[in-house]
Amino acid sequence: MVVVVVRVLVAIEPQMYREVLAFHIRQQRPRSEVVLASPQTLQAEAERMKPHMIVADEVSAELKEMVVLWMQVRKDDRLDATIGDGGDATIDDVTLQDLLAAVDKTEEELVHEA
Amino acid sequence: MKPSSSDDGSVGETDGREQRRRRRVEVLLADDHTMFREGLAGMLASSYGDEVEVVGKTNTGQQAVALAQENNPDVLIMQVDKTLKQAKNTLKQIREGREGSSSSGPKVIILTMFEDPQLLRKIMELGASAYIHKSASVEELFSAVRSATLDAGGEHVVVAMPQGALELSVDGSGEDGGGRALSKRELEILLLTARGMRNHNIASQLDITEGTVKRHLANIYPKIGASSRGEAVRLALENEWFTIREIEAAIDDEV
Repeated sequence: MVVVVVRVLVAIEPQMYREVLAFHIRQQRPRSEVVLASPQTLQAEAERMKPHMIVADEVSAELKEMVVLWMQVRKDDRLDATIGDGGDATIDDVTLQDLLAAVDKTEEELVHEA
Repeated sequence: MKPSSSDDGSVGETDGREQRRRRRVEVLLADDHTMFREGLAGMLASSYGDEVEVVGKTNTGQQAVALAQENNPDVLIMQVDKTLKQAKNTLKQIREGREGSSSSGPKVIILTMFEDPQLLRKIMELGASAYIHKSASVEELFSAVRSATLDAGGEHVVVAMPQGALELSVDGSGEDGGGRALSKRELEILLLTARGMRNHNIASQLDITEGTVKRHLANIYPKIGASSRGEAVRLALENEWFTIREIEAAIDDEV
């Protein structure tokens, strides 16, 4: 059985959101490695840790190429997300379950590639 | 915090646990963003579970009122929208619901994402125990929960806001909606904008380039918390940085 560690970089603004999402991923997917970054340090942190998945307000084309899956979150009256893993999908009023499903999908991809 | 009770004053192991459980601060969460709301509730329960119990969470003001009446929480953590209308209604209903009750109702902690000084000043008029910007940490939020419940007399207010926004909101520039933060030239351009003049007309009238007009407008918007010409003019009139008469005078001058 192949065991992989999913590296997740959470760079969503504001800080309280980053902390909450990172906490939840660490708690529910303890095998994952979660790092926090601000939008300003996102690029540098991504180059350093080589994440498999990025959660951010905006993910550059370069970073999208770098990861297995990215989640771009748009904040308005509710949180909507676009998830890219080859084919983009939009989720209205995104939930923690959607976030964990994205982590799981990333893991599946990594296992498949291993 | 709700008082704990013990029938005979002794505290056995079970009683002690019960007492500790009862002493937890009961929190109601009201926030539009589902992923954040659910996550924050989970984080408060896991990381601060000895001291905090989330007794309800919702994304609507109406439901927050119902949950507050049903659960009588110690603290309401509530996000505010830009108009503040919903927040005001929610707080009004919750406070009215406590009238005649021995309980004073929940302490209120306002969460916001907004940074413009005028809005912050209005938010701070909601009569809450704490105003926390979401750029603060969860630890800071928890500290605010703790402070609010310890401050029975409601004499202290906790504020965690970005430095820049806070400076603007307390130094007076936010007091009249940012009007005092505008230079004479910026007010002049805003006045001409209020007349409905286009950038090139303003440039011509003031004998400056159109690019300079655009630059001034780009500086004006963040200073007063506006996102468009219309909103800037509305704020100017609301806060009486200039009057309708001045706008008309400017029109008369040209005629």
